[in-house]
Amino acid sequence: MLVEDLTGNIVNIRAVMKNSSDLILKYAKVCGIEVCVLSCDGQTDANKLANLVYRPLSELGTDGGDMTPGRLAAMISGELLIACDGKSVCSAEDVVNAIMNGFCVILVNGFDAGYAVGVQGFQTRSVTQPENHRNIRGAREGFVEALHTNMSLVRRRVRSPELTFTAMTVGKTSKTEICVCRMESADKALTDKVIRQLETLPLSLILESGYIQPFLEKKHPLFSAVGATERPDVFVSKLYEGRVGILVDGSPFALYLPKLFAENFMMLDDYTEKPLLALFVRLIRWAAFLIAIFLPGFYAALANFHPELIPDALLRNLAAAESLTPYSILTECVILDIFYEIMREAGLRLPSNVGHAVSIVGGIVIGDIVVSAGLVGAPMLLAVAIASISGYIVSDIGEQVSFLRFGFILAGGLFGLFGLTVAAFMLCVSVCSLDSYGVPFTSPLSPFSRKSMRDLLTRSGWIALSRSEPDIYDMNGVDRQRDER
Amino acid sequence: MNGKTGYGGLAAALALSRIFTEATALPGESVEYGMQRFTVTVMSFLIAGAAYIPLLIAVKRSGGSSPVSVIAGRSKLLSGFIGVLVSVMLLFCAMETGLRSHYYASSTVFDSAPSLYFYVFTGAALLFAVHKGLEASSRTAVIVSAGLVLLMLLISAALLPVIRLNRLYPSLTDDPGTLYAQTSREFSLNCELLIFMALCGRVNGRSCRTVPLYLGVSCLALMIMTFLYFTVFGRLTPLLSLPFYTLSSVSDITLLHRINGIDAMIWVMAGILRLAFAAFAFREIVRECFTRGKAADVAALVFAAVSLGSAELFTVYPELYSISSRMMSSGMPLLLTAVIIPSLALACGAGKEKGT
Repeated sequence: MLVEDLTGNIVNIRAVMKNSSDLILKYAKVCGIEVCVLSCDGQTDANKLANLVYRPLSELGTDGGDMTPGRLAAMISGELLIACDGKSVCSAEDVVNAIMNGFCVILVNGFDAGYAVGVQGFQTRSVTQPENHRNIRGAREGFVEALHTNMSLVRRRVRSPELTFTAMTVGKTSKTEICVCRMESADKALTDKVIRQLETLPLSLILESGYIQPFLEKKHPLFSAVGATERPDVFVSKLYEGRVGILVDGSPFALYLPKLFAENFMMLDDYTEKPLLALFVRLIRWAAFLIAIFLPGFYAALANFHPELIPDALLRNLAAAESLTPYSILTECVILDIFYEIMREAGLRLPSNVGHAVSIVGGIVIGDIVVSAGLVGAPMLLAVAIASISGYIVSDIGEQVSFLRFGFILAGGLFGLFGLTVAAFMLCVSVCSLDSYGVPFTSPLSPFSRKSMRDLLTRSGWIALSRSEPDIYDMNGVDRQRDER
Repeated sequence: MNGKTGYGGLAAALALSRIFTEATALPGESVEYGMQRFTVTVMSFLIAGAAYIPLLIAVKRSGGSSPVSVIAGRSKLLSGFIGVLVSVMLLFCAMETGLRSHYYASSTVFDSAPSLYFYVFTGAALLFAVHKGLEASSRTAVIVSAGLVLLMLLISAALLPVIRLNRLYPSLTDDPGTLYAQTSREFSLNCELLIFMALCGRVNGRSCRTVPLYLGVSCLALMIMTFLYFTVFGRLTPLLSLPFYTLSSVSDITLLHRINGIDAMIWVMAGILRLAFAAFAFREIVRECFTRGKAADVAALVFAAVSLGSAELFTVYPELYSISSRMMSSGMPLLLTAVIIPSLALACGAGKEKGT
């Protein structure tokens, strides 16, 4: 607790902060009483601090007259300082928390409480177009690292009390601010459960929303039933469907849950195009997903074990190309896939100007040379290249697609279609076993919901969609009460 | 592992299981793909529909609980006796499914996979499905069913030019004896009655809807398959042992010269699902009649492994298969699931009401 002795308070606060050098103390004599303004270097805006705190204090003058510490403190908190955010602090820990969050704290000698004034002013990135979730039409705004900016981006899209924010602080050491967002239509039990889980997070340091994601989902080696988006418009549409959203300070990725598998194939642009075009594009995405994970493995299985399934003319071409290469089909396929993954990983981490060079070296030099040098067959290169490009279409699950493709190459190349069948079956069972807060990950495909089909493979027109409110729980076999995991 | 499933998922699994037996006929079976097939299918489904009625009444009366659980609530001795009988039939059903899957795999495009591979990989997939539980397996069944529908569409589209409607003609009443034999054989393949009886307590409400959906969908699918056989192969149809596989072997979708690879994939998955559902049914029986808790889960895993592993026994000892086949086609499963167990459940339910 704070005491009346200013020096004692400062000693305590320094001890709590372990004498950290970013603690700034400004002493002044106001109305004959010693006052100290505490702030944290880099967390405050110098202009705000000068205009909202130092100037009003200096205008009071140094002569005291009959001013008492209690009266001065009351004057500072009640009459003098005009700030949008102000609160009383009563302990050294509260003072430290406040200054770490961009407040400055005014302590008056002879008074056992302080007053914190919000003068936050740290540097933040401005709102720009999201890097990973680009679209053709729609807003060009993406979430940024500052929580309050993100909250305003969401609020600007839903100016209604139906949208509520619940702020929390998590992480024993990082004390990260997070915000749980929900619409009135969201399941109350789901929201309460999410909040409970966030309150009991065992993490000390939270630097990104991905840190808390595993604590909100059921364990699965590949897929996650918690979605992440950089787009405020997508985030708001998920909230509108009754989901719960989480914004984390320091992360431009907002989380929402529950997420469905089919959502990996839906984009915001689908809703701005004509329904027929949206249907076409969605079918392409589903096909691309299947091609991305199955094509090289399927090709290896057919070429190795079941050539009779391949049309004769094509088989002759394939045989001619493969007869010139020294390695088996499986070896070629594995080598090419690993090469591709290396180039992809290199391209991801490099600066964009170097990334182009990697693309040229990888795509033209290696791609062309390995075929002309007779190391791999052109059909195999084609199969892996088509599969790789198809994987980019479903970028949200790009990593999973790469992993699965490799697994299916091994299954198909070693055991033929039989191996591919067993692997596909196990994948299917595994994905179907995943659910999030009572909502199956594979719904509304399985369990099948006829009603939800209006916005799954096809997308009905807005007139049809507007006839009923969307609801994530409005699916066959999904019971709102079944939220116990 | 202990979740519940929706009625649609269970219906899809049962329908897939039923169509699987049609598509993977064993060589010793008396199933003839003659022109009487349409009538055989309709009649066997009518009998199946009738057989489900007492079961559905018992389920409805007990508020969705399985009849076995109602009996178990009254008499442990009786439920133990019924549990043993049903378990033996489920084991035979599962062993037969394992044999069918193996025979199918070894006679089709998967013949390159040695027996050992078949048992090891299918066994691993089966144990994985049983471990993941009823809910995951029934959702998988919906996806595999969608794959089957896609396959049928592909086959139909690929064979459209060779379909001749004049190959269909009625010859159904020429040989009533064969018709009767075929119908009873067709119905005896219906292990789904046992599976539904055991699992109806595990359906999220509206469990009774499973039956009409499953029967309707399976009957329609079988009729379409039969229609395709006759319109493509005509009088040659009775000579085929695996007609649907043969049908897919002559389909050409340009991208693939033959699509029997996809056909084989679907039926291997369906076989694994059928085995998994037999294991789930067994687990329910164990849970209701013998022991609860983890022991039932372990028993289901053991059942799955044993049933697939011992399917090979049918090949080594054909007389064992004859016994199983006779038992399953003797009308015993029908008598047990359509008459005895529902009647006992109704009597137990009535007795309990009187008691309270």
